[in-house]
Amino acid sequence: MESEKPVLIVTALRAEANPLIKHFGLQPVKKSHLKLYNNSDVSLLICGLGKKKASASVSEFLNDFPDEYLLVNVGLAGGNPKIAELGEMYVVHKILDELAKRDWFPDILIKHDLKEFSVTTVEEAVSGGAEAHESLVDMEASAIFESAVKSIPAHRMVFLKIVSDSMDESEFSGIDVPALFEAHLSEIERIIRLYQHSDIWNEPILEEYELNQLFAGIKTMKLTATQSEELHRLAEGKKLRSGNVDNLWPMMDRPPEFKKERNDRFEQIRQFLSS
Amino acid sequence: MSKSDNSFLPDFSHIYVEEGAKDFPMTADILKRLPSAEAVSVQDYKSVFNRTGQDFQAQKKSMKLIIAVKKDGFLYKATDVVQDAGYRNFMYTTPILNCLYNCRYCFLQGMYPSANLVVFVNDLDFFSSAAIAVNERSVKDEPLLLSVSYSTDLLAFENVVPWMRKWMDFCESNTDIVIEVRTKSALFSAIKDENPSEQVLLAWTLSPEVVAEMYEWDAPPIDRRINAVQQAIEKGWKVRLCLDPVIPVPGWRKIYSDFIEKIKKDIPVEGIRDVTVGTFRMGKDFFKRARKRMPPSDVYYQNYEERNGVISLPESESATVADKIKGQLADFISDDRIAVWD
Repeated sequence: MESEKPVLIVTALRAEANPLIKHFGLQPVKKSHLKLYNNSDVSLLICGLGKKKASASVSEFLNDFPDEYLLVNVGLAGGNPKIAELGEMYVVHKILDELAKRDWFPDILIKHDLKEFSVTTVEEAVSGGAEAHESLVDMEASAIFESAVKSIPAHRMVFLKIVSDSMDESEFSGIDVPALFEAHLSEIERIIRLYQHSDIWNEPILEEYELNQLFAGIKTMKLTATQSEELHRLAEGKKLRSGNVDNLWPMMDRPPEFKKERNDRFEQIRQFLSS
Repeated sequence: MSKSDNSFLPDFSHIYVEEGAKDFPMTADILKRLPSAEAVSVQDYKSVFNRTGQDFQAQKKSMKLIIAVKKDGFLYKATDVVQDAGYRNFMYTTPILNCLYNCRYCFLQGMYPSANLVVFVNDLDFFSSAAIAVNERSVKDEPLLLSVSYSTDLLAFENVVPWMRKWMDFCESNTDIVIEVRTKSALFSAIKDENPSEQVLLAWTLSPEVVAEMYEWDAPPIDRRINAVQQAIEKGWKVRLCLDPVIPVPGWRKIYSDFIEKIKKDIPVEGIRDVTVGTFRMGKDFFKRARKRMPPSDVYYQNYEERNGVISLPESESATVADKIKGQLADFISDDRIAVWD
């Protein structure tokens, strides 16, 4: 059975993470000092509150565990009561970093059936009431996006915001974080599975075993970086034109004795792959 | 790649509206035509169109619309890869960036960082620049040929944004300009009530069915394109046919031979203004970028040559293709009405 595409869920707080950890049956990852949990396809990172911590955690995670992730940030947000309902979950289509005055845009390609809003990422909790911001506010989204976009394309990032308050300080103490998350667990999973099973993932032209063979051949043949790059491109072309590159492997199965022999054989390979 | 996966949002599910573009009539018109789209306000269109982290081929599965105001650079001198078909004053303009279609050989895959479409709504600025270019054209006894569909397919988009009609109206008051509208669209109905004009060069790109299925998979099927050509000719238009790019797929001689016979049979010669013929070519940088974006197409993996910064078939191969096509057309249309890109 084909394995599921990898998912990285990012939450700021442990209280936000706990219902998700339980729902997906995640286990702590002991080999990392990050607050990290996973199962076979879902990882969950608790990044901490605020932009600085979010940026550092996400960058470190992607550096330590590189993969072709779907990133899902699920978090609480303040919402302008004129447009957003308490307890509702929304998809974010624009992230405004209030301090940097910079906009970020997740590419929303998949039908999600939720209402969309923009979110403003602020430095400190907003308590000025409904007039303070016209849509949603949070404290991490811009930093998560900015850190992740270096390795995850914008169409594989989803920002889900659950409205916990109306940006009014008096509401903060009464927020029941687990209950807000538990109400949306099945919806969060639905969206994750939708993305996992959609056609948004780049499939390389050469399959993994072909790439392994190719890299082994490059090593055996002691090809230069330029030759290796050209070989890779030519092999992809051959695969697209004729369906396979199986006849390439015997041409690369023994090391050359001299540089001239290597270059002569590379020329033969090039001619074969160009045919 | 296909759009058959119905988990994708329809094209133009989202419209990003530049703040400076909000008050233009064309903006209101577009928003009215796409009432269920999610409108997202943006400060500057480039913050959406030029941002990092975009995947061109993924975005093609659910293209978004960006409405913007073009600030400068309304007209450009044509590059070597564009056919001038004999016109010495030749420029192009980009009222829309990107195309509804995603032809495998198209330079747009390597030109822009995004597959989303940008529609510029400050039409009067375009027309002022065009009027200046007409006045300043170098060969005064010839009109200015302006390619208005260079970075898009205007006709295909006419029901969403009527940019083509706007250019046609502009031509009525500026007699020293000819606009070329190159298209693969079957949507002639969008302009069927317009009178035929010598100043509007409707140019259909046609390819044999097998080539269209391989490389133009989301453009209208060839029979529908031919049907659109027939409708245009019936209305009195004299059209340009573009066999460009001719792609030498295995068995291409027979494939193109049969196709040209079909053209001769289906399209009345008296309705044809001229024919252009060309083979695949692309600026080196665009080519590299397009290939890197991994479209699973063999078109980027042929034995090309680089000449003056342009990737194309070896000269001799290109000439063989052009000679074959010209030869086949010889009993249909005179040699002086066939322009070959070389």
